[in-house]
Amino acid sequence: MQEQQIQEQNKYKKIPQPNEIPTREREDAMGSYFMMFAALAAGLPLPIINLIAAVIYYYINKKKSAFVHFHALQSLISQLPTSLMNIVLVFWTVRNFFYDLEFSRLYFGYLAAVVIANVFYLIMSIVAAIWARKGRMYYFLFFGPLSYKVAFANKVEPVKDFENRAPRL
Amino acid sequence: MRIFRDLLILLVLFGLVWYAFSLWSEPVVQDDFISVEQEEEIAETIQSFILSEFEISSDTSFNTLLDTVRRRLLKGLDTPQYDYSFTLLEGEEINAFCAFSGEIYVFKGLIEECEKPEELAAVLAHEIGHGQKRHVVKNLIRELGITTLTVIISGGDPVIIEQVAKAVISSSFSRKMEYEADDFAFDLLQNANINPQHLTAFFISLQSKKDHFIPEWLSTHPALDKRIERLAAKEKNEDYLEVPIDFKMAQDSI
Repeated sequence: MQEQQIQEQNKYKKIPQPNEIPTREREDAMGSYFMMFAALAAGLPLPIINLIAAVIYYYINKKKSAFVHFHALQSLISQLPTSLMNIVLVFWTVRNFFYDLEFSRLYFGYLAAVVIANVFYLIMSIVAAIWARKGRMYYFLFFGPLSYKVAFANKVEPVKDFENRAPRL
Repeated sequence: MRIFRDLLILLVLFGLVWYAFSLWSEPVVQDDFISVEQEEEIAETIQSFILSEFEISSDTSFNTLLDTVRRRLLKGLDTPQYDYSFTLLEGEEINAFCAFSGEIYVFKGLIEECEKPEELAAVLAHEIGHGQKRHVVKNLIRELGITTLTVIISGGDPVIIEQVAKAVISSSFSRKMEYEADDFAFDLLQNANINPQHLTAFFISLQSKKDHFIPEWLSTHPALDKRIERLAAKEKNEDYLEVPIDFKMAQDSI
């Protein structure tokens, strides 16, 4: 049992405490949330630009530290569902206008759910950005643990010794 | 496992909010976004632009004909969406267009082109169809968005007004809208005891004049052939009896 616990602990890197995280890393972690807002505005009405920006930001910053990696990844994957919902909403609206279709109850229900999801996501992101600036971890539901699993995973690279082989004859 | 439980919570929450708001909301059709009252305000602004661009014709005989046809058509209209008004404009264009709030503008060129008053009635019934179905509003909501239309309502800038007016004059409706207006015209003509085949006849007569200028509202999609085919395939009422429009009598009464 104890051995299993140690094995589990070894799977992930040690979580840094706020006093161990340099200001530069905190700012980079905070930036992953705030950068997305600017990109979101630029991406309207097709919310795809924010996704591209988030992917670029993620790949630039992920190697800096596990802390920055975690926040950049959380910001990136947590905006996937809202972006997808927004894209669906835009297409649904355009389709209704274009084909002169009725705006059904289902449409308005979806519209309300998407607005609420966006507002909720916005608030969560602001809170996460503030926490990141303070050098704290902030876990979103589902996306937080998932980002932790990826960012703090202790990757043990298998050591490959060079192997001499005979030529193909 | 905990992660999947969290994902499930998020999905269920989203589903519940969607469902709850679906129950709470009411379905809306596109033209509900602009009320008839709001449309009247837009109509005033657009009308002043149209009248500054085109000259109203004072030709008595043409105006009398137009009025005779209008009265005859309105008799066949059970529940008019608007108080339809027809305005005769100077110009050789074979065109008529429906603007906001049931204001229909007819160029003299169109009347000259019609061989019978019934043909004119058929074309105007088609325009009334666009009015009854609120196609002008729907079209503009689709093309310009609700924001632009509300800018016009609040006395917006002249560039937008010009843009809207030009879109109205060009009257380029979608295929579905043209078919709807044709179907409406067919029924209206029957209700007004006018042979609906006059609409087909007018289309055919235009088509036969190959060197003739075919107006945009007829040349654009749906193809004229298809429209003629559709109208010809429609069944007329069995007890239907055509009453010719007595234009001569109206003219004599001036």
